[in-house]
Amino acid sequence: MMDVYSPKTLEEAIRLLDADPGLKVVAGGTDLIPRLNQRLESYDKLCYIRPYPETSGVRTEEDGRLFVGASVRLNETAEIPELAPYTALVSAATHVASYQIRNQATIGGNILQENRCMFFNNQVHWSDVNHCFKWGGNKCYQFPQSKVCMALFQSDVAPVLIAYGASVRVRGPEGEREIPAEKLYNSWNAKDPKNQKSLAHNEILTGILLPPAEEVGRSSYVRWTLRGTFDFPLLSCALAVRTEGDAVTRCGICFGAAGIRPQAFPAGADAFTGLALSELPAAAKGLHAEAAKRIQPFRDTHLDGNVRREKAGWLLEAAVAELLSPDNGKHTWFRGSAELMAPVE
Amino acid sequence: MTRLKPNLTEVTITVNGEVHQDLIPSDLLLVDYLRQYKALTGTKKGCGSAECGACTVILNGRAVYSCVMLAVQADGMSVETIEGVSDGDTLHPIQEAFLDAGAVQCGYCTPGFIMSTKALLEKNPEPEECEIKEALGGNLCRCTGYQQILDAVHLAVDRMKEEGQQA
Ligand SMILES: Cc1cc2nc3c(=O)[nH]c(=O)nc-3n(C[C@@H](O)[C@@H](O)[C@H](O)COP(=O)(O)OP(=O)(O)OC[C@H]3O[C@@H](n4cnc5c(N)ncnc54)[C@H](O)[C@@H]3O)c2cc1C
Ligand code: FES
Ligand code: FES
Repeated sequence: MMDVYSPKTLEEAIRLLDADPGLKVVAGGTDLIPRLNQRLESYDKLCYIRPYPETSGVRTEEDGRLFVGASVRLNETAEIPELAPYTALVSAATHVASYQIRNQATIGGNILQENRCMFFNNQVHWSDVNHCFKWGGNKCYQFPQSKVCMALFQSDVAPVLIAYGASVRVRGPEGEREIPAEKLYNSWNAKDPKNQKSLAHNEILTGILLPPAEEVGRSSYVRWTLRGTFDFPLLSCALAVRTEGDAVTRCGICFGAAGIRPQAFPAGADAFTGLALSELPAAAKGLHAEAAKRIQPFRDTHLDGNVRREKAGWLLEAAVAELLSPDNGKHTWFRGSAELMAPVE
Repeated sequence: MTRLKPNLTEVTITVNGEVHQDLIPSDLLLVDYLRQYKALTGTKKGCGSAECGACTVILNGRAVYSCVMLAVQADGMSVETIEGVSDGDTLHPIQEAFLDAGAVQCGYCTPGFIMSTKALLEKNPEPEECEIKEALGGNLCRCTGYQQILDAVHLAVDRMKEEGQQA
């Protein structure tokens, strides 16, 4: 039995969190509540954070960046005109899980979602016998030699933010601060293996700060799944490319479902910078070996440890093809056909 | 720690057009609120983990899973369940179409499919095939093989268009 608080204001929510280290935040609930229902996790108290004015809607900041409230629902991203130029972001948000989940799930909850693993997320009968780090044990069943939990981070939205060079805004009792998106996932430690994000317990994510659309340029997002709905990405790739004339002047690449945090690919971004758009497909072909180095050989119920790694270059090529396609962002979903599932020579 | 007394909280939820004010345990799931407190057992609980769609209801116009949502999250909102779809004994054209197209076998998934279809057609009365698949992708059916369900949606669209009826 849990007590669920639903504070009426953001300030009150922060006060409650500050006063009670046992309070767990819930927003859309689509990440947390399934685990509570499955009894994989339990809390005495939850703090339901409503869509507060400070965490809702989108607005342009004085410096030209676009603020996207943490409470924006994933499906809403396709309905907000200001977000239309951010093709990869909308594509990622609108391909998460299933239609219903995207109507409930918040964009903030998406980038703060818990890492997953076929052992812990299997079922309570398994987890409660084979205690891994998340269950209070001292072993990672993925990587038995590891001193920390190595569960996979499968957010679709997070890799896009990193490819964009976006930041997030959080608010705590002392006020607001900004964290570059790639730094949000830097606080992995063995002591507290759950929800390892660079947020203090008494801080609430209020939103995402996107660089102005013209600075981001064109962007694409591809995710590899077996089914068109419900599936988390087996691996995904976000690509953002700013051009002057035809030449790439800034590039960001980030893989999702590639390790304990989104995996940026700066070597790839450097290789693309200075090239003409038409040269990107060939350049991506030459980056398979480098791309593979960015991917942890994580095993799940669909893939063995190495296939994920081997597919990185293929996914980068797909992201380039998507970027250059006149239908960029319009594809209903990106699926692994039997051919694409074949082992890489 | 097991606590004997739940923390009660008051919610105001409009269910199928009627405003309900209830004192409920604050951790009550929306699906349990509907089934246990409102005796609206048409909404099914399948997986309880956002993976099947049997619990789909329409919340403020959008299809959601009531099994992974707390009732307090629906406070102040309007919920529509399968019980609110028909007009007394007269079935809604979507329900008729599901029956006529053979889209109902064991029927466990059907309320969820109908709510997803209704939410879709309210927004988009003439959806493309891919839009139907996207809107219904979050509902699983163990019996029909899905083709009959797609046929049912098309049939409902055609009939409602003919009769100038809105979802
Ligand atoms: C069947 C299924 C399939 C899924 N598939 C995908 C997928 O393909 N891709 C994907 O990316 N995700 C997937 N998910 C995860 C999905 O839950 C998230 O994508 C969703 O966006 C989470 O948002 P939420 O608001 O529901 O999060 P919640 O469950 O409310 O919260 C998630 C976490 O973030 C914390 N949190 C939330 N908001 C804040 C805030 N503002 N400040 C501080 N902390 C906060 C919570 O404490 C919690 O730990 C899937 C989930 C399910 C059940
Ligand atoms: S019971 Fe809610 S999705 Fe299965
Ligand atoms: S009719 Fe039996 S599950 Fe769909």
